Amino acid sequence: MKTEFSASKIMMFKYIKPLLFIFILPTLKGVINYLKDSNLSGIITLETLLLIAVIAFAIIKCKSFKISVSDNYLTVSEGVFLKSKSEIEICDISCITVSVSPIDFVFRSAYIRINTEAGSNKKCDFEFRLKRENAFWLYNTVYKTESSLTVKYSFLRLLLSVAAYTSVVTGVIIGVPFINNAGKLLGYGIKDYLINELNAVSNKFGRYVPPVVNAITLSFIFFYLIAFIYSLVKYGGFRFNVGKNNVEISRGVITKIHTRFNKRAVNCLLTEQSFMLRLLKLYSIRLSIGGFGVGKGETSVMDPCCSRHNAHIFLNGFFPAVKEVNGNGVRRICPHEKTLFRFFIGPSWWYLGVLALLYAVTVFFPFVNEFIIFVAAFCTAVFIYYLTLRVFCFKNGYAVLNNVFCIRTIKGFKTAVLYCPKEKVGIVKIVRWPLDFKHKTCSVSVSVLNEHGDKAQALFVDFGQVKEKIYELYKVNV
Amino acid sequence: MTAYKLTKKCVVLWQIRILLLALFLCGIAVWFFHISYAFIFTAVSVISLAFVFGFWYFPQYAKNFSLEITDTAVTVKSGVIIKTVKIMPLLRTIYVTRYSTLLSSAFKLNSLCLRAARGILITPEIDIDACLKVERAVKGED
Repeated sequence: MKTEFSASKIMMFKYIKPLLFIFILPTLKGVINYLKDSNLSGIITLETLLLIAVIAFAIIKCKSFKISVSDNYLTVSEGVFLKSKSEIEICDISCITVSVSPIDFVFRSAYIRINTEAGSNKKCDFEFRLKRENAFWLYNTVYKTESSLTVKYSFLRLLLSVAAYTSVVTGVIIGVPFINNAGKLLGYGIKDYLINELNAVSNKFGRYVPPVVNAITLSFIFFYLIAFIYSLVKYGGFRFNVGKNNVEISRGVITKIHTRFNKRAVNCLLTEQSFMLRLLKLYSIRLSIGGFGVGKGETSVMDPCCSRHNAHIFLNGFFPAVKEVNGNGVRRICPHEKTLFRFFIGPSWWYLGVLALLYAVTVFFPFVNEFIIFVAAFCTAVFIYYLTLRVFCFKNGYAVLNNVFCIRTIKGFKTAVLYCPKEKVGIVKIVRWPLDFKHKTCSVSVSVLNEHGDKAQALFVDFGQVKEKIYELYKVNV
Repeated sequence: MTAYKLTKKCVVLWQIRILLLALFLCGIAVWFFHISYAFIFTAVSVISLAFVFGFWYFPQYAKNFSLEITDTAVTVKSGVIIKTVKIMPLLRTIYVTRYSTLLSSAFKLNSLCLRAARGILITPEIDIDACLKVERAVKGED
């Protein structure tokens, strides 16, 4: 039985959205001015004609979109001048997401994202809007509804999770364009107003701390608050349903987002701990499934902060073979005891390089000495923290090369454990430096076969054991 | 194993596209003549390049191109100066997209895009039957 759907009418806004601030709104402003002052310039006439052409094209493109669902296949046809037709086997769909924003609620539509392992990272395979009932029908057809265990978070747990996972960078990415565009729309210099306020407050404490340091600290706090509020709204109502085959994640306060995927679509699982999570003895669990977490500002975090006990339940629920990794009798290939100093070499070079650069800046620009001292102190603190992470990697890092590959390492400024079934491993890379030949060690890097290209590296582990395991698994002599 | 080549229709299609593009660029260059006569050189360069691509490069490319379908993989051989062979295992291919434009539909040609995890293989316009054959091979129906 084949069912066919057309796109919802409001999908046309997807095609005109990129031109909204640079073309459409200025043209509309010009037209409004004409209606007020009866003063029509040649440019506005041309722009209005172009606007009509753009809207007409968007409508035609929206009407050309068709999606049909048969027993095993999903066919997506779209395009006006460049028509495309893709036929995807339903079992190859790695995850499907349906979201209902306030605009979708008003127009009785829903936004669907269908993803496979193909395509590029951070880009969805297919995204479109359907009528709400059609969208949910498609959602339930691709991955059937199952009876499942529901896990919900309390508000306090949610606050803690959001605080632990929010970052200043997210706040900057969200806040800066929003402030700029809001200022342009309202015709009011919000950005200038904020900068003036920031300078005024920074200068009040200028006697104790350099004003530029105050300004940077206040900016960090401001953007962190923006990210925190944004994440709270995004993750409010977070719950997941774990069934026999499928998993569903629901979240969102203003825009409700539901994502469903099959457990076998999980490529790998990462448990991470940032500095704050390590203090609180909590873990963040991130899943790698094709297309999960590709939305703007999204991550593929399944649980941003859970206890060790719940992390194990999680892991065993997705990867029963993980018990094999964490059980007794499983050989963990650990860093050699003589390689501790090698963990410090890389960060030390980085630190010395930064200090040299800062010194060069003070020579050429002596008036920023105070700021440079602050930056040097900050870099020193970061360096010391990173050294502690490297010590952690030496003491606790390992590689398990089995039916489930498991690498414990550090990624950036977080500690992480990567679990990946052997079938999903893409490339195993073994690197040996000159000192590795002396210590009989090597570094093992495992890349996962997925669109994210997740990888993890165990440093300076015993080469003999790695060689033995690689031969056992792949019958290859290293 | 089944092998497909680019047909003369595909060569003509690309010659038409190159001609249209050359006309468009020459038109812009001619429009700027009143600013500087140096744009004559631009127009001459565009026409020369169009000749080279339309009457030498693309016919050679079509002659060297082949698409082979076996039980296990799709292989595309192409190139004029630098020859490349791209192999996409059928097991790793997740889905196939067919593209057509107004012109290529008139010639009954479609271009193919085979997608795998972190991999993509695009072919120029080939016969629709060949495209359907590749699709069936990816689905495992052949």
